[in-house]
Amino acid sequence: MKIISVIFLLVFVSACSVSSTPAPPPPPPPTAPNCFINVSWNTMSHSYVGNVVYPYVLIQGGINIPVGCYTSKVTFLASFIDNVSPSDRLDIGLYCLSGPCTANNGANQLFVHVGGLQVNSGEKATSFFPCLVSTPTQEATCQTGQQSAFGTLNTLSWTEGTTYLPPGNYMWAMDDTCNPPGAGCSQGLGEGGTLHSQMFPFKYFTNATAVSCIQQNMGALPSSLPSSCVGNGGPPDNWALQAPHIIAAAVY
Amino acid sequence: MNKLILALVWVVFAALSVSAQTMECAFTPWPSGEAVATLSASTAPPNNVGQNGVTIIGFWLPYDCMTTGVAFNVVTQDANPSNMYDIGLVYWGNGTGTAGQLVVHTGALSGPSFTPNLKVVHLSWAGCAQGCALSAGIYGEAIGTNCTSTNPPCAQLSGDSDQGLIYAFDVSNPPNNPTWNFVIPPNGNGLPANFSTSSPWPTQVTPAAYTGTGAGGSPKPPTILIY
Repeated sequence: MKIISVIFLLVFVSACSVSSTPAPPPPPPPTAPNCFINVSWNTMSHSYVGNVVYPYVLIQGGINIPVGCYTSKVTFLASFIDNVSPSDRLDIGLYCLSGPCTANNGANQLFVHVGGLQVNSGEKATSFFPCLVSTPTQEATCQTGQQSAFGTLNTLSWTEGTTYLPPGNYMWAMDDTCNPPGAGCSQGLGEGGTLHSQMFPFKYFTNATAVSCIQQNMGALPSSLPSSCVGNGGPPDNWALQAPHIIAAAVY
Repeated sequence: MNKLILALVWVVFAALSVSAQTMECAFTPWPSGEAVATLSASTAPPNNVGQNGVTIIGFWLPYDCMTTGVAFNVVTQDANPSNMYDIGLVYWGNGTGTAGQLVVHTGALSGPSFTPNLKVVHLSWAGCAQGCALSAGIYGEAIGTNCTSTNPPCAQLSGDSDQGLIYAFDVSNPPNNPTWNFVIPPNGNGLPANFSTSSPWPTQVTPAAYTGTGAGGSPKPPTILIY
């Protein structure tokens, strides 16, 4: 009987000790589902893809992914295609903020992005806004950058290919080299407006007068963010309901 | 010592039983309810949900849970007892369910029963008083109706905002399919016979969004709470 008691005690104690030890990073389960996650809602607000001031990256935190899942693409609602310069580059992606997704490389690591694509290179695979319209007339207009793509669903593939997103809290990031920023730069449809903004744990907008988290870049999101760029250790530059706003996108 | 053993056994089994329980659902596929979704079999305007009898709009349920009912906010009541409505969830894929199978539904309800008042209405899923299991995966919110009236209008519920979220898919019955109500398997897959698993049922995730009331507008789902 004493042996049985000892066994139970050992099992009990070992279970307790296991629960208090940080778990090693779990490998991607081969049977994990594919994601389908909206990063924000859309209230027909026209939201810049990242910029108001140059350089310009918008980071929004608070996308909770409750279970690990695979993603290969992103679809978002376009609103206006950059008519400043066809060589401007844009990027969108997801960084891990906290939780199990930090297990391998820590926080603030880029997991997926589309890779600093030109507005419209003339090739669908390398364009952020490949011409989405259907008629030759519209196509010609789109190539010159004058076409409003209001309400068009735009699908891009991640440069990383099919990628496992471990569970955790993620940040959505948008980046655009369009200069001068503002009018004429690319926009998508997303959350926004006084009564229709979505509340996020934080929005952090880098600009020339604040901490320049991402120095002059080539339009591609960096593989990691300095911790000082994420929430800036205090209240965010722009609180949850304020501009700039987030384009509506589905990660899947 | 025997008491200690029993206590330890109880602790172990209690821990195991807790971990094996599936939590109750508390899930809103589209959280914003600031717009109005009209439930109508009419295709004019094109953003009615329930077009030609049935519309199914896809969302991702990321975890397993047990469900007993659904709640939604009524904007416009339908007092016509001849108008019928059914709302349910269809499993699409990305998990362990059977693709194209209706998992839960309210059953056919008349206008007055579906929209008894102008506030949040709670309806039980048929046959789920003790809870029905939803396994994680992509589902479709299925809306069925035979209502085509315009004055007074069919039932209107708070719906996803204008433009709204991006859905995993958004499909409706093809024209001239009078069947609209759902039947839980084993009687078919639960959907109207003409709403087969090949067409218009999507074979892959096909992102869709409500694009307005003009040509090309797609149905807008009512905002629901699955609990």
